[in-house]
Amino acid sequence: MRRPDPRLWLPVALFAAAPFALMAAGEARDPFLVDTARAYLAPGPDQPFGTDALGRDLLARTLYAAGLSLKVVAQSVVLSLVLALLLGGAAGYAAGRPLDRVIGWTISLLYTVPFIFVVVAILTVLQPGLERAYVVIGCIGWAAPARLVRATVIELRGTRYVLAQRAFGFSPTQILTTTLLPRSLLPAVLSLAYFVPELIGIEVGLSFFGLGAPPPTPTLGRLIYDGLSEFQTAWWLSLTPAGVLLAMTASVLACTHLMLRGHVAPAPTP
Amino acid sequence: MIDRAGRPAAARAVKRLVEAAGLLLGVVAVSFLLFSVLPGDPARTILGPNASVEAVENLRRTLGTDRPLPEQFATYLGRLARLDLGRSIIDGRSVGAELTGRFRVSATLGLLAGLMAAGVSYAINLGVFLWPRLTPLYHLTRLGVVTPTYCSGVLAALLFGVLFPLVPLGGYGSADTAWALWLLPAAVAALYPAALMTGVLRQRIREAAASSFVRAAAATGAGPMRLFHATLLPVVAVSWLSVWVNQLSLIFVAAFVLEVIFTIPGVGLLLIRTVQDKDLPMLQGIILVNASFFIGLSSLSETLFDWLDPRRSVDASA
Repeated sequence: MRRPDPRLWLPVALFAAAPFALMAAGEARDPFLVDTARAYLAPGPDQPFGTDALGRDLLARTLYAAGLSLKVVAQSVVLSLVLALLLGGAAGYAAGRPLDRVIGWTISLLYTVPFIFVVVAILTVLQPGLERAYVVIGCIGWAAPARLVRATVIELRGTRYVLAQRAFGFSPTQILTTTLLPRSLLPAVLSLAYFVPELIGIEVGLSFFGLGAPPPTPTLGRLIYDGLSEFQTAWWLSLTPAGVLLAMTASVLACTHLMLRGHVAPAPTP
Repeated sequence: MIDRAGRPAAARAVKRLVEAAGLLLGVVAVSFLLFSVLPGDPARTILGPNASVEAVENLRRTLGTDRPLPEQFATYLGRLARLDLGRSIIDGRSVGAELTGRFRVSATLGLLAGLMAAGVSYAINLGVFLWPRLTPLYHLTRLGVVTPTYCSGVLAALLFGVLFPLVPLGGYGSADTAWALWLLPAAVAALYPAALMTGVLRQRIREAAASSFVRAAAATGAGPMRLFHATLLPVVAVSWLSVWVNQLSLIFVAAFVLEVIFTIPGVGLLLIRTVQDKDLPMLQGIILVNASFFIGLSSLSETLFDWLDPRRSVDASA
């Protein structure tokens, strides 16, 4: 089996480390420190992003919130990946049989219904909270990579080496875990990487619509939403978190490109 | 028209219809189960942890959640069949009536944005095709893929709502809102899909332009304008349109966010209140209306595309 270029995993490592770095950077400036004497300060040398109604430092709050948001996204990506490998692998191995049909139907359901509603509905009933957000997002984000895993498994199932394994009496589980799934891992990871900006959007959307971590924990969506009502007087309240969000999406996309280049650039050797 | 599998087009349309009905039933079941099977009692969720047991019991009776589950589902289906989405538990308004008005606003905004996205991607590609010197314009659109709606929306609202007050933040929704005011939020919602579709269309066109029939058409002396519209566009139109349909659900979500930023009374603004109040019947209604819209849209467009593009049936059965 051709090993993927190790550089491929650098963006993944970055993506895994970023939440902690951002949250630590936020905590260093204390996102919770209330100082009413410093309320509504416009961005300046002492407070690069300004302060809010309670005099809390917006840079600290935004960084912390960005870290939190990336953490939820990273967790849901891992969960989606596991689900995509399990369900996509099962569907591919059972292609055409009822199990495949049920999984395929679920995937098309997840595709047709804009999933932010499903996430919103589930979280409203379950009581909002960050620990739940990633489970719900993860349970919904597996659809796209699962399709790829299914296609890869179907493609590989007909190859001679899998046929040989079957002739040697390997069980379907053994064939899946030793041969089929490891080869589906890369396509699944790449498709999820493309999906990360959308997952960030969902995560921010949840807190924007009031389903994120409860206050005083800052979340990107809530920072933007809260700032909207004070547009006229304190523009920086929603603009700075929105800018940080832009930086986040842009760097994620840059990482994805880096990954793709690492994967696509070396000529495929059989 | 008959596909490879020997099925006439009508039979495929029926198959799509059955699939759509299945998906719709799935959504109905999910939205029902969401509120009856998940841990957490809806009545308790609505009233909060401090409500008395008696009040919870009362609400449970009003909601019907004290009945056995199959009976609840039957009642629910029966009500839906009569297009009755129930009443808001906060103020007793009819969910159906409230959503009709709200969804019309969101759909106007969403479709306007969708048209803009399609128009922009067509115009940029035509421009770049006619005048290759415009190629940097195409690279510029990539910015749109990077910018989240939250960011572009806040920026647009600040610029045109506060700094140069062209649009009334919070003044949307009154009957006399000029149609021109919808253009700004729609343009912001169109940013991402426009960028994405421009890229897709460009890629498809470049693929098609390399084929021999296009060179043959050029050799007959067809001008670039004719080449683009009569030779290239028909080949790529369907796959471009299907990307457009796929983008619509993202456009709608962006429209909901922008409704909140610009205070436009659509589904998005309703959603915020619904979540705050834990108004479960309203939330069920929002999910059902949106899901049926998108399921209907996707089955309709797939049928249309099958009919428009015979290549699809060959690919599907190959």
